[in-house]
Amino acid sequence: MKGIVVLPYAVPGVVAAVGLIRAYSSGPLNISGTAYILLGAYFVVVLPYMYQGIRNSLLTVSAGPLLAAAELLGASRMRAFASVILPNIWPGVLVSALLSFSVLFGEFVMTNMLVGGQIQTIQVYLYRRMGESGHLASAIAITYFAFILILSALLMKLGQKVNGGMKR
Amino acid sequence: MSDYLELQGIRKRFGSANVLDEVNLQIREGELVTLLGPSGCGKSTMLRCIAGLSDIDGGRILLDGKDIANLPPRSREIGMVFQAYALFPNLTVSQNIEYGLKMRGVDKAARKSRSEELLAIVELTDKRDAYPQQLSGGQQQRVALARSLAVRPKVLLLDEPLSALDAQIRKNLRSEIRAIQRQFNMTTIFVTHDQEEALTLSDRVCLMNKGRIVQEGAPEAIYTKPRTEFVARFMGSYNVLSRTDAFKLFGKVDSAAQSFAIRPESVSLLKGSAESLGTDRRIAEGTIHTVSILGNVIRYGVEAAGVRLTIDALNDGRSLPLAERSPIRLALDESQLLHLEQEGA
Repeated sequence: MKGIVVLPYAVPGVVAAVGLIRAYSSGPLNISGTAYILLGAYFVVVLPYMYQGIRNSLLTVSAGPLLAAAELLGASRMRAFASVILPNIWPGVLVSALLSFSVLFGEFVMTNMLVGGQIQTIQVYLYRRMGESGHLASAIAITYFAFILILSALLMKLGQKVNGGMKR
Repeated sequence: MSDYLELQGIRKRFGSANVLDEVNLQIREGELVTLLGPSGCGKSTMLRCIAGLSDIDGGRILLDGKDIANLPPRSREIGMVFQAYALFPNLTVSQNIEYGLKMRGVDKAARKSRSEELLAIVELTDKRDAYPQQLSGGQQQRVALARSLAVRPKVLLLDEPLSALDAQIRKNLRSEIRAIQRQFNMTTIFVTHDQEEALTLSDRVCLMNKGRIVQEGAPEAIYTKPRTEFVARFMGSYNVLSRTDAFKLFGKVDSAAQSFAIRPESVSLLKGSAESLGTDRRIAEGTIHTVSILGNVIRYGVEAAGVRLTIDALNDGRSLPLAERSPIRLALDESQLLHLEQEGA
């Protein structure tokens, strides 16, 4: 499980993009160049981040015994998960999600190759404008930077809350 | 009273290893039975099988006349307390205790009164709104106990509930658990690797090794009459003697047994020659090798007739501990020599 999940780390974006385009530009699932292929690719790219983050949260709250205890007290598996696991790993899930978001936000190579012609993400947009006007590109870069700064601040704050919550 | 919980031929394998090998156990209502054994003997696995957290590969589990082996954990009416407490960190103490009742659809007022009742029993009434992280280990384990009792289970399983606590709290909580168990007449299985805990707490002790129950009986019986070498070594610091060693010490052995055991406190150390002895005592000359003070007992390592023995003497303050490397005379009582069966017999 862990090996499969961490695999996206090992595959360079260019290689993944070429492979994806070839696989999905024909056949029953012809979604090359659409938002769907981007969604699929993003899903794979963030898997390692989400997996590690959530796995760590599960380990710190020792989810196994908690689930067992809840089940013995009469909860169904789903109910046990919703009532005693989810509230405890929630901050960890949120941090992983934000981290994944900022990773995707900065992702350029794969996006440009997969859907660069059709969909403009901020990176693709920035790349295009760079050729036209230096001023516009600078403005975009600054805005982009400020946005990431806010996101990072939020991330750090949440991270502190997670650690603090464990100690209380 | 008839058997309340009955395990028949429980088998459990992990890969090619037999973790539980045809285990049979009968427990009467209101009885406290200890599963005792070294780590890896299958005692915790057995508890998980009874609770339904692990599947069994064979056998039947009868609770109150009903086979529960194929029921999911939540339908078994079994409560369990874990070594690491497993309290829900996002809920307060009283919410933790009420959790099981809530899952069973008990209304709020009834839940409240039940949790107050249990809080009073475990003496944590003033902590009802605290979160588990704000409590000490002993308090957390008391909450865990209250939580599993709240739903009135038919059987309570305790999986090494005291091993994460320090010595003083462990002793207090031990007697508290026993008192609560008696008060509710709760049928209880207690798993531990600590023989002292097992002896002080239980109505009956089952000593397990390698997935089997090797001996079961009342605490005093299992302590004074170990059947095999394994039991003798595990239950106390018995001196286990081979047939040749027994010959060297006693001069004669009237038994075909291959190994023997003698309790460290049943060998007396003689100071001087003035002490009068019964006729069945045998005197041996020896040398003290090690002296360790355990508190109320002084433990000597002695070599006599080429045999190493452990001897416990009461630390009564009247005699100073004897010095290391000093010669000593031992009085051995042949009636105290136990004949052991071969392993697996």
